[in-house]
Amino acid sequence: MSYYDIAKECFVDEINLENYIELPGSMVAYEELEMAFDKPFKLMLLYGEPGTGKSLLLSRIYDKKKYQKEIHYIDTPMLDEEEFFRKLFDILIQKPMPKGTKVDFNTFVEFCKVIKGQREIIILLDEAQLYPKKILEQIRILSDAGVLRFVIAVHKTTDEDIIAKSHFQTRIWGTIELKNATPQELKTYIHQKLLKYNQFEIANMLKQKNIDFIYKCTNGNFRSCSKLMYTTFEIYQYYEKHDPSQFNKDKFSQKFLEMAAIATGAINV
Amino acid sequence: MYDIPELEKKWKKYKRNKIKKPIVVSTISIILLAGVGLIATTYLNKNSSDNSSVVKKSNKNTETTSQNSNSNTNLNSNNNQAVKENISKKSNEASIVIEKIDSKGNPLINTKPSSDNEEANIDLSKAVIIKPNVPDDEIRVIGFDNKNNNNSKSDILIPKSSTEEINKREEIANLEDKFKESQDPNDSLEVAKYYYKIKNYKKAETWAVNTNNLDGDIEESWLIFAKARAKQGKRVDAIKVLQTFYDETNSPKAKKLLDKLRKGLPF
Repeated sequence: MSYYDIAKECFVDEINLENYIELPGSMVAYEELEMAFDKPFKLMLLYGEPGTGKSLLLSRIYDKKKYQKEIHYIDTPMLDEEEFFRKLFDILIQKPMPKGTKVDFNTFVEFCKVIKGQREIIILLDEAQLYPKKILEQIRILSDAGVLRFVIAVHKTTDEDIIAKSHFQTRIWGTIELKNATPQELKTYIHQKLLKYNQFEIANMLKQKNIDFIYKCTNGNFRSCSKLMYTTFEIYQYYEKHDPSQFNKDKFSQKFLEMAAIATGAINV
Repeated sequence: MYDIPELEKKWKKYKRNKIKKPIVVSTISIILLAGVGLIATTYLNKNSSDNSSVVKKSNKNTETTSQNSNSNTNLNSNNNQAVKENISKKSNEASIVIEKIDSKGNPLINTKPSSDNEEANIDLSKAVIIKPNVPDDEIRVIGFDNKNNNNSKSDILIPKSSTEEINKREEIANLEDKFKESQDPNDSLEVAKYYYKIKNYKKAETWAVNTNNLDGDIEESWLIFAKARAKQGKRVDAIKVLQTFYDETNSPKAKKLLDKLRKGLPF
């Protein structure tokens, strides 16, 4: 594996808890969410622009709390009511729903009332903005029953729609916003990503000028930054194979960074 | 994978545009400034030529009347003075010269001495040093080493904190000299600590290295080295070095600092 192959791998866009970078902003959000778990909330709203780390935060808290609390993480949105019921059945009854069975929604609500006080179930719902209105309404009713508590993660662009619905507004116990990184956080993020893979040389080669450019192009968005870095190392790979004279191995190539920014659409030509 | 040759073409175009932009902006700015300058010059020229015609007219008038009346002569003189104080346009020169004249008609020159001259003219013997409004134990008096001399005005009073700094600096200089012979890591550590405290991170790093070279087990010296390195923007280096130290010693302080460096927190 070449030098730049490994560097590229550092910035693959995937939820990998081993590569979680603790930054001041995300630490605060994590602690807020962790504290909320001990409060009697019905709904918690986690929102932020795409690429600010909502999914990573949910999966991290799930990973940390799964042995302490009855907690479930639904990462892909369920667009179909039947699929949603099947998942609910699985969570509430702790068994898969038998084939060919249909369950009425009211049965779930009644069941929740029966087990109230005996169980407290937290459901982490990612990409909640994609759920149909009907399912969102059912989530609200279920949360009222006092057994199921939901943390719903939505994109910032759509959170207002959800919050605006009065029935949701009164039940949302708290909101946590995840923001883009500050320049300093972005620098730490990039360095840490590289250091996790022992890419000391590349981390050292990155100068403030490069970081400033990355920040300018990505506005501190983690996903955009990873994409930009990934593409930069792809370009490195190409030149390493076809024309190594195009770059200096001791200096981070601003040219490649700019080319990557063009390729990813971060800058327009 | 992207079409890299195509991408490179786009990049070249991007660079060209990037260079073009400031050139275009500065060209426009220069043109605008030149335009403003031209308008201003035209305006001034117009004003001065108006003044000249007034001068000529006024001179003509006074010439005809000066032989008869003293008061008219005075008027002529006043007119001349007023005009000279404004703008006198020399017919054979394109530039406009503005000069002030005194009541006798002599051109005024800047009589204020230059700053260099001013300095040269300060009479130090007459300087009085005012005692700052702080308690006596807060200040130290330095000056003539003559306790019988009651003329305290010739002493220089400086805040005690400054003298402490001076003392410390002297102490460190002595320690540095001493270290050359003693090669005592405690001395070099003391110097490293001092330089770190006064934010001279380069020197702090050098002295921490000196200490580490003599005794690699002094935790404080490694911490100073890492912190000084990080303060100079070499955070990655600092982490590398500190990690090695931590791997060998399991030092909790090193771990704490390592965590802070990794998280980008202040230390």
